[in-house]
Amino acid sequence: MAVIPLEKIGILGLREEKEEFLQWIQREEEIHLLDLREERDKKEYLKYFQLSSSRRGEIEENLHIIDRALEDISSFKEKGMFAGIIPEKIVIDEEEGKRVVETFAWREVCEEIFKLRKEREEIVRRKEALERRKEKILPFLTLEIPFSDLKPTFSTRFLFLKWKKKDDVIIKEGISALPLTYLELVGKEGNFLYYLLIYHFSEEEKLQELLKNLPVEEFSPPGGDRIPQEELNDLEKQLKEEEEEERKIMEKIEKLLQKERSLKIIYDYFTFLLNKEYAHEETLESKSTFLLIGWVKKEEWKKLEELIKTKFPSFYLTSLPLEEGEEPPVSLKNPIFFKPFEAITRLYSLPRYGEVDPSPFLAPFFAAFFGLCLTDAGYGIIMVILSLFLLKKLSVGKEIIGVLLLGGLSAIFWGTITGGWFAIPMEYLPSFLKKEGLIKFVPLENLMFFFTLALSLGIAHILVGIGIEFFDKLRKGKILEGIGENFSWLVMIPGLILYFMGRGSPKGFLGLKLMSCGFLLSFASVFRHKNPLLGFLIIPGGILWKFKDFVGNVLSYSRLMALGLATGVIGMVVNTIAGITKQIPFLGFPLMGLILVCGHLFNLAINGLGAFVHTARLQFVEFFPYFFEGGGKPFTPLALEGKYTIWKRR
Amino acid sequence: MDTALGLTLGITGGALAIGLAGFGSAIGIGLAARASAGVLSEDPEKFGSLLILVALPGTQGFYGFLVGFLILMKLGLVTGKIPALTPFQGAEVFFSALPVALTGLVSGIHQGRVSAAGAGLVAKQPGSFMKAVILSALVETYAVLGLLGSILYLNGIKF
Repeated sequence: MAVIPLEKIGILGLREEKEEFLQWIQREEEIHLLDLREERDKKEYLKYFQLSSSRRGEIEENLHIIDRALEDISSFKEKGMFAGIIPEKIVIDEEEGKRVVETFAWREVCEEIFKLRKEREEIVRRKEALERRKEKILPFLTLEIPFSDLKPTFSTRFLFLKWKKKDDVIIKEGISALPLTYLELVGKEGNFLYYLLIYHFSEEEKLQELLKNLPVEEFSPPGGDRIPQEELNDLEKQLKEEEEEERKIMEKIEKLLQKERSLKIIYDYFTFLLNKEYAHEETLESKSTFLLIGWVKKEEWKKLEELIKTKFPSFYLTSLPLEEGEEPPVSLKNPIFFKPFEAITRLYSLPRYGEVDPSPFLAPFFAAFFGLCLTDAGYGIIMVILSLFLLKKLSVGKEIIGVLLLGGLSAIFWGTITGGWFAIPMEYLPSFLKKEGLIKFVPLENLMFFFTLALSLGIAHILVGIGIEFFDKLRKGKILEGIGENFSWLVMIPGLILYFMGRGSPKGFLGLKLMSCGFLLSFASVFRHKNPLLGFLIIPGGILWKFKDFVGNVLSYSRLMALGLATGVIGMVVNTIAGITKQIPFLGFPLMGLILVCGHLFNLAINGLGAFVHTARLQFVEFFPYFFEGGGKPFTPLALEGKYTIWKRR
Repeated sequence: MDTALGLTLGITGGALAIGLAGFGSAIGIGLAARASAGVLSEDPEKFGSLLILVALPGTQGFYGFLVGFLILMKLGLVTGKIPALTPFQGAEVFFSALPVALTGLVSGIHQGRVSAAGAGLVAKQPGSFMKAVILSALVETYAVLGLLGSILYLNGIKF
C-alpha cells in the first residue's frame, strides 16, 4: 500500500548471451534499466567498458514505413468526432502475434497501400480536371461548331462577350446600331448570356467605343477542337470510367483495411525490438562481457535472481548500494479498492521515492466528494452501469473508469439519503424511497446542514492530511518537529470545534483545554530554530498564518454543497420544462420524453465533469500541500509494451 | 405600486444573474473555442479533449441560470402565485442575485483565457490535458462561491 521498495542491481554477463538475456528480461518485464552511457563519464570503474552498438537504424526505418502505411489507412477510414478521446488497444494472444510476425508480408502490404493511395490520388486529380473542364464547357452546349474553328478571316474579327440577362435587350440594340456586326448566342449560365460577336474590321474603333459604355464583359472561351456537346458526352464517359476505376481501388483498399490489425501487431513487434535495441545501448560492453545496471522490485528480486542463475549460470549478479543523491524510479502498489485512485495521484505527480503514496488516503474522500457533488442516486446508477460497460469493453484507461464506478456508487449513497432521484420532487417519489429514517436531509430545505456537512468533510480531509505528515515525520525520526508542527494541530482543531459547538458548557471548556494543549505542543519544535528564543517569538505568528490557510482551505469545501445543489436544481429545471411541454397536444408526450432523456444526460455530463474536476482540485490544492510533494519518475521496466496492442501471455 | 416595484426589482435580479453570468460564459467559451480551433487545424483528433476545455467556462452561465430559476420560483412566476413584495424585499432578492452575476461574469472570461492557454498546452503535450482542466477549474472556484452566496442569501429572505 505504498511506493514499492526497489533494489538496485548490477549484472555482469557474457556478451554472446546478451541478446538472449535482453530478450528474456523484456518478456519478464521486471528490470528498469539505468542508462550507463551517461554514467560512464562520471565513474572511473565504468571506463573499462565500451559503449554498445545497436541495430536501431534498420528497425526505425521499418517502423517509419509501417507508420506511414497506418496513417494512409486511417486517412481512408471515416472517423467519428470523438475518435481518439478514449484510448483503446487491441488485446491479442501471444500466439497470434507470433503467427503474424512469421507469416505476414508487411512490406508488400505497405507497398500495396502506398501504391493504392497514389493511384487513388491520381484518379482524384484526373477526376477534378475532368470536372473542371466539364464546368467550363457546360454553358456552351448550344454551339454547333468547335471553338477551334472560330478564326478571324481577312476582313472579320470576333469577340466573346457575356452580359446579364436583364441587360440583353439594351445591349443587343446598342450593338445592332453598327451595321457590320453579327451576334450569335453561344451559351447560357445562371444570369449570364454568352455571345459571339463577329464584326468587320472597319467597325473596330466604333465598336470599342460603344462597348465601353455598355455593361458587357469579355470572356475567354473554353477552347477545344470538338463540338461542346460531343466533348461533354466524352467527358462524362471518361468520368464514369474513372469512377469505376476508383471503385475498384476502393474495393482493394477495403480489403487492405482488414490488414490494419496485422499491421498494428507488426508495428508493435518492431517497437518491442526497438526498445530492446535501446536497452542494448543503455548497457556497456567489454571484449567478452556486458554490464547492466538497473532497478528491480525488492519483492521480486530473490525470485528473479534464482531464475537468472538457472538460465544464465555464468552471469554475476549483485545488489548495489544507493549512491548519494540518487533517486530510484517509483512504482505504486495498492489493494484493488484503492488502485483506481493511483490515476488521480498520477494526474498530479508520482510521489518521490520514499515519500508517502497519497492514493489510499485520497480514495475514500474522492469517492465521497464526487458523490456529494452529484447527490443523485439516479445519476449514480447511470454512471455505475456506464462504467461497468466501459470496464468490460476497454483494455486501457481502466483506472479512471474505476474511479467513476466508485464515484457513481457514492452518488447512489448520497442520493438515497437525500431523496435525490433524477431531481423528482419528494411528493412524487414512490414511498419505499422516502421510508422513515432513509432520508437524512433534503439539500434544498436543509441548506445550513448541507453547508456544515461539506465543511466537516473538508475538516476531516485536512486533518487526515496533517495526520499523514505527522506519521511520516515520526517514521523519519523527526519526532519533535512532528509534534510541534503537525500533532499540535490535530489537538488544536478538534478543540476549536468543540469550543464553538459548546460555548459555555463543559464541552466547550474541554475544547478550550484541548486548544491550549495544542498551542503549547506547537512549541515542541522550538528547538529546530537556531536560536530557541527567537523560535518562541516566531511560532505564534506561524500558527496564525497557518490558521488563516486552514480556514481558507476549509471554506473551499463549500463547493461540494454548491455543486450538489447545482445538479439537483438543473435536474429540477429539466423536469419542470418537460412538465410544461407535456401540455402541448399530440407532440407533448414524445417531446417530454426527449427533453427528460437529453436534459438529464446533459446535466449528468456537465455536472459529472464538474464533480470530477472540483473533487480532484480539492485533493491537489487543499489536501496535498499538507503532506505531499511529488516529482517521482515512473518505474518503466524493459517490457513488451506496444502502441496499439497488448500481447496476452499464457 | 409598491408591490410592483418590489417584483420588478426581484425580476431584475434574476435577469441579471442569468444575463451577466451567461455573458461571462459566452465570452469565455468564445476565447477558448477560438484557441482550440487553431489547435484543431493542426490536429483534428484532439476534438474530444478540447471540447471539454472549451465547455469549462460554460458552467458560469448555468450557475447564473440556476439562481435566476430559483428567483423565478421564489417570486411565484412559475406557479402564478405571486406574493406581495415590499420594495425592500424586492431589493433583497435583487442584491442576493449579484454574487453569482458578477463572479460569473468576471470568472467566465478569465476561465476562458486559461482554457485557451490550456488548448495550447494540450497541443504541445497531450498528456497534460487534465492539468489544463484543473488549472482552468481553479478560476471557477469563485463562480462556485458566488453561486453559493446567492443561494444562501436567497434562502435567508422570507416573505
